[in-house]
Amino acid sequence: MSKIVKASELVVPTIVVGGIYGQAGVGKSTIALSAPQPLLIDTDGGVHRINAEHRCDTVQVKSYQDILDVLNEDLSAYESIVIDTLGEMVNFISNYFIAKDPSLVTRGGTLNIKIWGLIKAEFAMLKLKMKQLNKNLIFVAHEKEEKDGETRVCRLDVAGSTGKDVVKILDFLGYCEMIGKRRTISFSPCQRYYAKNSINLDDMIQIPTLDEGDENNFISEMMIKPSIQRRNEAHAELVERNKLMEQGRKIISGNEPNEAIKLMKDLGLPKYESQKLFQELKASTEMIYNIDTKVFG
Amino acid sequence: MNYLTPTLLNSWLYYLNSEYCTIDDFLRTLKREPFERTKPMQDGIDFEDEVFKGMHEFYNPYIQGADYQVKLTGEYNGIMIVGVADFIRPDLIIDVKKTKSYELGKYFNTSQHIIYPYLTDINNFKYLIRCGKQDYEEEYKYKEGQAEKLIDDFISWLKATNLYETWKLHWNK
Repeated sequence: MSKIVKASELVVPTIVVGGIYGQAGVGKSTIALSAPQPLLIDTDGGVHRINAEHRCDTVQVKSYQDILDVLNEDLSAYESIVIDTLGEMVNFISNYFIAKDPSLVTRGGTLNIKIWGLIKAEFAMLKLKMKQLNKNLIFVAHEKEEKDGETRVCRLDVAGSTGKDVVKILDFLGYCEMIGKRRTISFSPCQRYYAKNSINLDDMIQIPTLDEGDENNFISEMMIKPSIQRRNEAHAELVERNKLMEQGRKIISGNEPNEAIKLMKDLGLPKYESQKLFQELKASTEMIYNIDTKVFG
Repeated sequence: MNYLTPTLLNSWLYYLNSEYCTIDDFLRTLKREPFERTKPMQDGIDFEDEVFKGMHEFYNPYIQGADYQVKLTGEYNGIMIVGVADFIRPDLIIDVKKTKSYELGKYFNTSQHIIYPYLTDINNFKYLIRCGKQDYEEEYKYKEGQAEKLIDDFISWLKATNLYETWKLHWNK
């Protein structure tokens, strides 16, 4: 049996891998912990800054080995892993390699270029391991401001290329900031920051203020649940488009070209499929299509 | 009929947003002055071809079953829009880039992720980027009305800078 699965038959994932970055003090860690049943991997010692009411089970990381060890433990009680922060995790990985090979630090105290290759390879392995856990995965990062020509842009504060590399596995990357007195998270890229939205979230969501006793469930309720619903909708739409293409092909094979054009219009196909079918129709007949009269003759 | 392409729009956007681009650079594109293919341009074309041939593992899952080098046409307000998309799947448009330096968001000020979705009704767009030996991706979602606004802005700008007639003269099919 073939192992190839058609795009329209792919299983729709029910977990998300996301990233949150942005202004200091805006509440990134608290937002990250609003994922379902989280385990916090606290690499920057920031758990004490989170309101006690919203803290969760935590690994207070002292070395990269702590992270490797915890990933080998029984994590069945958790639905989400939160890495806070990604930048500090990369620093731990860097120190891990330096401890093994001190020559990775030059005499001048800078890092030998070789270390970035090692970090990249290690992070690739770690990503794979974390993905295999099949849990929601949330990365938190601080922002750093850089100048790009005349514009000041906000980027993930992560050493080396890991910040750019991690984006490949993310379903979303949200930028958190205060807009007036509102705390917001944006998923739509703009001049000032990059964001990612593979799971059809709203462009910007206002982050609710948590009063005493309020449940911290922003990611669960406002992001994961709608995204799963929208993924299913997008999947259903793809299936429908495929069905319409099949119908279109039947029309081409069973009708005279000018009649086929009329019937194909009634299908209401999106532009690309419509153009593609038209090319198939042109290829299926020896008649010539006249662009001006829009008729085969 | 007058027409425009993502290349022309990119040249304009680059002029507007980059301190390294002068009006003369943009005018060369607007006047369709012939230019020699530079080595980085050729490298980009060669790399794209290698991706199509499946020579770069990272790209293979994205381009599986995709159409390659798809010529797209459409119309807006009496203007013909023409472009060639690198790869198209029913749910995704892909543009392959090769660059010497990369930061996230580098391709925000380009037009492919706005124009190609408009021409296809496929709203998901990914730039797949090779920089050195690293591969990255940058993703955009098309929002209704974005292409119309970009084209309207471009035409208004041409009129405001008295370059509208130049465009009409050189971009006419």
